[in-house]
Amino acid sequence: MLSHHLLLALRNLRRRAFFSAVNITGLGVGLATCWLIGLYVWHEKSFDRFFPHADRICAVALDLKMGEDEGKTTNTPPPLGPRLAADFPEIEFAARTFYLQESNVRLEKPGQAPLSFAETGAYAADTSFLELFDFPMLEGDPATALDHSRNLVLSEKAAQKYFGKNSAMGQTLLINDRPFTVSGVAKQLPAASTVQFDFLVPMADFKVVERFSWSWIWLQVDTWVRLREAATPASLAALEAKFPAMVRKHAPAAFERIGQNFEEQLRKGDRWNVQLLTLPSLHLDHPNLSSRLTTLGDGTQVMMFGIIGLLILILASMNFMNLTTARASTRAREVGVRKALGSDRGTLVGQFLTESMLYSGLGMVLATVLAGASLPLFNQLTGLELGISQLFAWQNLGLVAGLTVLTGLLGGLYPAFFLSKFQSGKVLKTNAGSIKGGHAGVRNGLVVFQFSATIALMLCSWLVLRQLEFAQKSSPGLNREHVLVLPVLRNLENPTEVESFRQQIAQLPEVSAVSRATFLPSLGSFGDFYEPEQGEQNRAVTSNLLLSSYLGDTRLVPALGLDIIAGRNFQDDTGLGDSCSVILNEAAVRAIGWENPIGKWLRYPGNQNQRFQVVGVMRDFHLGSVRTAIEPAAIFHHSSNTYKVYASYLAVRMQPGTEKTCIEKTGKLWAAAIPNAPFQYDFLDESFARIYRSEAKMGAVLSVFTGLALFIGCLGLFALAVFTSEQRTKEIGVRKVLGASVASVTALLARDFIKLVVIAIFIASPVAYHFMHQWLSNFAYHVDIQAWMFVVAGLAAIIIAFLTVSFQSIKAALANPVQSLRNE
Amino acid sequence: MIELKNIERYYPTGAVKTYVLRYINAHIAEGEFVSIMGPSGSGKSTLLHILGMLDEPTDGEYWFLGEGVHKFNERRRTEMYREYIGFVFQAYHLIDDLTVYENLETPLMYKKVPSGERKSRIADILDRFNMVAKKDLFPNQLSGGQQQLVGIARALIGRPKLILADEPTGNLQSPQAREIMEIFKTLNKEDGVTIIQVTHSEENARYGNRILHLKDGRVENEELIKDGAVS
Ligand SMILES: Nc1ncnc2c1ncn2[C@@H]1O[C@H](COP(=O)(O)OP(=O)(O)OP(=O)(O)O)[C@@H](O)[C@H]1O
Ligand SMILES: [Mg+2]
Repeated sequence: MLSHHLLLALRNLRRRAFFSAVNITGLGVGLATCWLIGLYVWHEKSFDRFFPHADRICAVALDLKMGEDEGKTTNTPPPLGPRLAADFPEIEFAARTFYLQESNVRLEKPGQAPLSFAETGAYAADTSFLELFDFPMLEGDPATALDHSRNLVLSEKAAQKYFGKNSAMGQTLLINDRPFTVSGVAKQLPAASTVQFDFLVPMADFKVVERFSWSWIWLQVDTWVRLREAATPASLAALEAKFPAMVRKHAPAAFERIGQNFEEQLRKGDRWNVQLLTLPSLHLDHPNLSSRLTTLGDGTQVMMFGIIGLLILILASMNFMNLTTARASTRAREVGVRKALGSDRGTLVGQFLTESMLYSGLGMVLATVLAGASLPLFNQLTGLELGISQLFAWQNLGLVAGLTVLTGLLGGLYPAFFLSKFQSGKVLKTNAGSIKGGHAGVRNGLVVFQFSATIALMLCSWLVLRQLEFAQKSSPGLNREHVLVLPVLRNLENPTEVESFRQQIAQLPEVSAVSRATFLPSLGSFGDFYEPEQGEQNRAVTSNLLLSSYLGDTRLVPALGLDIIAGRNFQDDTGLGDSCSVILNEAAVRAIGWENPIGKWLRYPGNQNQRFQVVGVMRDFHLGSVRTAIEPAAIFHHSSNTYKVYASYLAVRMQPGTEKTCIEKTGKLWAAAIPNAPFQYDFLDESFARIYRSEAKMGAVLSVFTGLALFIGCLGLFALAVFTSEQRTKEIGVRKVLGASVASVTALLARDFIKLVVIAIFIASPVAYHFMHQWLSNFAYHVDIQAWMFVVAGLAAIIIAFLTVSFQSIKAALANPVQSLRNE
Repeated sequence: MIELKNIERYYPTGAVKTYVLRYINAHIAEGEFVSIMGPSGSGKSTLLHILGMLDEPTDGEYWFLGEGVHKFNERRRTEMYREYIGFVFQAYHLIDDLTVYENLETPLMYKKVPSGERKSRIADILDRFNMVAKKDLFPNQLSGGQQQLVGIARALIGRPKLILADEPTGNLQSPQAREIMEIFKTLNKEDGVTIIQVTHSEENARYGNRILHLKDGRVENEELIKDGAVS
């Protein structure tokens, strides 16, 4: 019987080639989408689970509230790790890492030019770091590899990069001009690892961490612990409950040193809680975690992609169901006859299921081709680097085979059971098997669902793209364009060398201003607390405020295109004229509450009560992402020497249109001034754009999803249109004989479908609005949801649907009536 | 073989019931050849569908071989089709997706006739109906009369004990129609097959042993044919 079913199914497939092609294409696209998305979700979910002790390893996080500032972070202070290891027997190891920023790594080769790169994967780590994670090593002993000063552990990739096939062990590499000796090579970590490194050096070689070993405020290290027992929610809660006592014992002294009363702050509602985040949960389960770890994922986004991927498959199955039930009238007659000839229901169900399985099976074959072909695009969209072998890994094949059977059942079961239930008498009574009435409802419902989903996706992706454009382009108070950014501190430690390099660049005719600054907008800033003075005004000002600040010179304002709206810029770079001056942004003035800020004073409690006078107010600009509100910010002058940070940049404003020559010339100057380091540069606008990587990914993926949904929806609509006009050929013929015009027949056929799309618009709009609104609430600054977006999306859907349908309708309307009437 | 007691069939049209069949009582013995006649719309097809268990009466009882048809479940009905009944539809109802050959083969497959015998039976009946050349064509490639012939052949091929034929020769030329009637008569006489046919033609009706005249859903009168089949 099965071979008979199969034979029949194959024949039907061939005889109804068009509908078969529609079915298979739709299913193929749907399955391929699900397949790739499944791969992505799988990858994200599998993060860090490969570590043998994943369930015992935790990242240490802080849940902080300090005044207005509130949040959860994996940025931790230096003393926390050692304290945890010392005070709690439950903790087997603690290890800290300190990010060395972009570092200049060099391999000297006798008699040859050195091999030198700017590296972003360099960290200082405690000696227990390798052992804590139990990283598999190619060479060296994880327990001891970081025990000695100037030791260096490389990743497999870094070892290959610098030493090729030769063994790296015992070789010397210069990191920021300091020599280190390779004592271990770690096996390449999987992409699904939160921790990634290329160079590890002993923490003890970085005195800066040592210098802050008293500080519970300097959150510049990442801390990891390994527990003795696998973590359970209860055991973690029990352990975390013991932390506040530790914090209260050790932190107050540190806060005292910067003039703050820790206990009193806590009483006022501040929080300083230590938490442990288990490794398997780290990647996806902690939204809004601020962290230096760049590999963290977004659980909501992953879930959303998964759901939409599935939705695409469902949309494709709907086409399948639609076309099958659309044919129900023809099929019903067949069912009736077969029953009268002695067929039982099981046989009929078997026949229909064989048919639908054949379709979904062929859909899977197509999906294989599509998934393979679109893998590069997929990798580009998701930032993964997956090969064909991962596409066909057994878990994935299992998933896809499962999905195939599922769609086969989804598309086949309903028609199978529905059709096989037909009573022969009802179906066979008259010449025309006219039983389409009941099903038109289901079919219309499915079309409405498909188009609702498509229109909602269309609106959402459009909004994401608009917001992305806004976030990347809109920049009041700061001109991001034509600014070249050169990281120099690592390469030129001496300020006079930096200054002379700066002056050389400033002399280029293509350059209009060059400024030296610690940090730049989008690249970070230094945050600390300041105490505004009341001045002569009556209204009380805030006593204490967190300022994000930059140290700069007189040229920072022109180089960044900042807008001074009151007072003045710094005037003097040579003497000490501006060493006690500060320029505040509007947000800072608002937060402080000064009515007339110019001339007012700020005190810095940390540095022998240094005082700064406000000389200017600059218009607010985004320091980083538009997700957060613009924070109070300030520019101090280098000569204030108020603090030292481990970062320094040159911001070069170029004449528009001269970028290429400007970079060339700057590169030559760099090669002369900093021969040991390769020329590195960045653009300020691109650096801002990188902040929105996640949004950009979402915009791109949503656009692709929208395109797919639209494609599948139109495919289904087109097939339905073909089907209805086929069914109504006779009616059309009769109408034409009675004098109907092509236009009126087209309208007759298209009207029914357009009605469905209009209904879909009304369903999609509020749903889309809800999601759009929710998503936008992540941003402090965002575009508005506007009514015209709905109008445009709706019109677009109607036009697309009309074009899809009318092609077929016009064809039907143009057909010679004699042809359609002769048969029968 | 067949016992109808007060069979009624109505359709709810709006609020009122439209009766298509009313107070039908009939007894048809095994081996009879009965013709049903009546004007268009008098309920002939409806009655035949009820006899063929394709439709159910809204009231009354239908006994088949001593069993109450109203008690039949789907499985039992399927058995009936496989074992007893061959139905010729007024509108032929060939399966569009199957060739002539496959249309003829379908009932045999459901009866689980071995493939060797299937082949020989199909070859035989194609020959008898002069359709050998058409065996690989699809229904829409046949003329109306040819489709009707296939419909009849398909009903006969399973060697049913009861043939129900709804205007089996409506689309055929009189010589061809006569041939079919001869086949029916032979089956009836020699193999004892019970036949009930609906027909508009007085001539065809006379091949049987009895004629039921329907009008407005009632049996108006019954006519016995002298030289008809034995009862
Ligand atoms: N679904 C229905 N709803 C209402 N009335 C129906 C329905 N189906 C059939 N009828 C009515 O039942 C009556 C009998 O139909 P039937 O097909 O049995 O007639 P018939 O005697 O076979 O006619 P013909 O000689 O034209 O084939 C007709 O008047 C028809 O209108
Ligand atoms: Mg009839």
